[in-house]
Amino acid sequence: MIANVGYFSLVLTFLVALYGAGAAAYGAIRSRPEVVESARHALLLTWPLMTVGALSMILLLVTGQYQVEYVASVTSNAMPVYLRVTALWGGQSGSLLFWSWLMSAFASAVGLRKWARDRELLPWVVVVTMITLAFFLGMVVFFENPFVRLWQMADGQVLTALFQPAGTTALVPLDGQGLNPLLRHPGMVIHPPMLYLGFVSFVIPYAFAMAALVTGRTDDRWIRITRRWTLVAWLFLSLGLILGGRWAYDVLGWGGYWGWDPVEIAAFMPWLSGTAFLHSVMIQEKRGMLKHWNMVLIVLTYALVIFGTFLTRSGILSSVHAFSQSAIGPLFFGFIGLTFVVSLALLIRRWDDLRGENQLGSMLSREALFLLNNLLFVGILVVCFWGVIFPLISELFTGTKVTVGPPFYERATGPLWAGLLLLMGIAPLSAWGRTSWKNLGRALWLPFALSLLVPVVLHFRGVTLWAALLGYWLAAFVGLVTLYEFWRGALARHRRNSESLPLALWRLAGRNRRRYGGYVIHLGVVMMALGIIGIEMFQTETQGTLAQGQQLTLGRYVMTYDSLAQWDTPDGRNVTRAVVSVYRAGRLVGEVYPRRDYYYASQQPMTIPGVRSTLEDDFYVLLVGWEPIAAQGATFKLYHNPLVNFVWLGGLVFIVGTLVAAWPDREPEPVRRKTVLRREASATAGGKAT
Amino acid sequence: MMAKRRALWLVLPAFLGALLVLPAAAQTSEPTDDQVNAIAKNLYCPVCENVPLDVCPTQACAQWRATIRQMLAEGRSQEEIQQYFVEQYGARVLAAPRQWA
Repeated sequence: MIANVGYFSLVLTFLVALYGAGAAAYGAIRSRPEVVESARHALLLTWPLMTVGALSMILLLVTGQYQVEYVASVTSNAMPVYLRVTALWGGQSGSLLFWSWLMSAFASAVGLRKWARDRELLPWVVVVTMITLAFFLGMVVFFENPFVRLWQMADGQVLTALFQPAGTTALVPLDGQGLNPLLRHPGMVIHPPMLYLGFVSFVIPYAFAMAALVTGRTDDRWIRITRRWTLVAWLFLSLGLILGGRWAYDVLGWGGYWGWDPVEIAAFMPWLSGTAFLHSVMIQEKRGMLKHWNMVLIVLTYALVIFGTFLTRSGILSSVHAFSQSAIGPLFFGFIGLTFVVSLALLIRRWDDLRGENQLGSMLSREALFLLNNLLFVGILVVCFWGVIFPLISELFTGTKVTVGPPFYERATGPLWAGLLLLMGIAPLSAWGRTSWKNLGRALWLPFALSLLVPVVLHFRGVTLWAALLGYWLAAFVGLVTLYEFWRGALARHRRNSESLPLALWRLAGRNRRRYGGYVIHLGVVMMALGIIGIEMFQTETQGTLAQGQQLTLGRYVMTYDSLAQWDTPDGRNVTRAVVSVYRAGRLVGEVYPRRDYYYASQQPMTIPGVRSTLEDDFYVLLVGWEPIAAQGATFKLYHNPLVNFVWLGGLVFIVGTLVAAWPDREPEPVRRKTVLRREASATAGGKAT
Repeated sequence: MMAKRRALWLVLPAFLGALLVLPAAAQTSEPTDDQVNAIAKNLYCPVCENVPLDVCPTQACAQWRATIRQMLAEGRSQEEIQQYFVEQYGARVLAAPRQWA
């Protein structure tokens, strides 16, 4: 019954979305405001309808209605309620349903805007969002229906169908298979929704961009409307990526947080193009340049959002052949191709209208440096894209599968990241329009000189790896430049308005949140860079098999294997847990408990590390194996991860910075745009007074 | 003169033979886990996608590591071991396609 209600509401939403898209386009072309209004109502209706569908699914999951195939495949009696709810995105069809639900929420949020303000753009926004929603819903309704039930024929064969096929009886399993153990982690509970929210909210700027192209409103209005959407999308994507990294570090048990796995890269690629977009829209707002480029970037981001969902949902990664057998793979492929071609065709039609209002004045101007930043981000994107699709191409054309692993990505993107860090240090001090070497040099010399101390000191303390010295110099340089910017701005306010320094700093950031929020993000990146360089270049590891009481040494750390215990848990796991004492420089600093969980139902082992964590480093212990009879010997793998916690701390700072930049303004945005623009432009000129 | 040269011909093969045997002899001791992992780190089994062999917890991967250990004990080099796995399971066991290295 509930399953029928859920399915029916999905079908209804699908039809409403199609109607909304059609009516909006018709109303806009024929200038029929009442038809557009009807389309807006359709748009607003999608969210409540989708909510009925999603809540039905959640109800089925929570109450354990195992006759529904999806429920049986992702939940089990032993699972607590919160995990049953999160099982909504624990499988293929459920996550597509979840995606559509979020899409409808964001689309409806657009529908609640003051409609009169951008009358010509909004109908086309409805068209784009509703087509996207209808596409995803279409897949749910026709190919990946999460509401299908299990039926048994007289000969014992099991069928899946929504309604009872003739000659069958309902099959109601007593228990389900349960959620993939890898997903039973708090990080994994929040990580997919964050990524999906990021994915879905990037659809909105894209929709406005397309609306601008269709209507010929080629000024920067679409960018100004969607500025916050973009930041919110970016915030969620960043959060999703950071949480995903943390989850990998805590659960996957390989001593790291980022493995250049195609699934990770699928979520990383829209982030890359989105980050490039966030920077380059500033050039259009301030200088009226790069209009084509911004369009290309948002089209690319949208395509990568769909591509990311496609990569993770179509089965193409495991094999090209699995892809051709899956129903939704080719559909995805077609949809990406179609939207990409249509978007580019629109862009080409408006090409002449999008000419820049200014020329690139100097290679040191801020816009030139931003352009360079964009090229580097796109460079990294190209590397990632190539790495992800090369195995597919290889399999398709030569029949041999290949792996493209971390060594390739690290070597290919390392220099590009270094280039980005360098730009992050220089660009904030260069001015829009024209900057001479002299001006830039005057602003840069002090942080530059101070930052050189870092590699020198490190060198004398025994760091000889040139790449690490370069990396830490760059991080120090960016950090100092950014702090210097805060200091100069606060000092100017302090002198001019005789505010106390902390107050001046607070007001400075408050008045120009986008800029100073951006700087906070840069500081977060610097901190993350410290951690990434630390673990990438100075991680050490060792492995050994020990009898009880024996020791294993790694650098300054020594671990002693104290004991091992094994037991079954009520939720269907067998836990093997070792007790390990950790000594640092000869002193006992604590105990850690590395363990191996074996899930009976899915026959999956999970290696959960025991970690002794400080700001300086992590001592990360894995239980690799043990003798089955008694606790005689056990094998441990040890990692020493220097500075890794700066990755998480930096991530936190990064998110705070994004929140500062994205926090809603109190004053209404559109009024006195010109004057605000002028003031901002003069404020940033030379990066001097603010 | 002739005798000297003949002696050389006798010594040379013996010398070359010793060169071939010696490295193997030098490694007769049981390879350490770290030596095994150093090689496993750059290999991927076809089943556990994108999990490097040195950290993969599955039974199959444990057997691969045992194979590496045995080949190390026989004195085989890293290239030889990689080549063995490529021949057995295809190019996908390598972390990156050969041509890119």
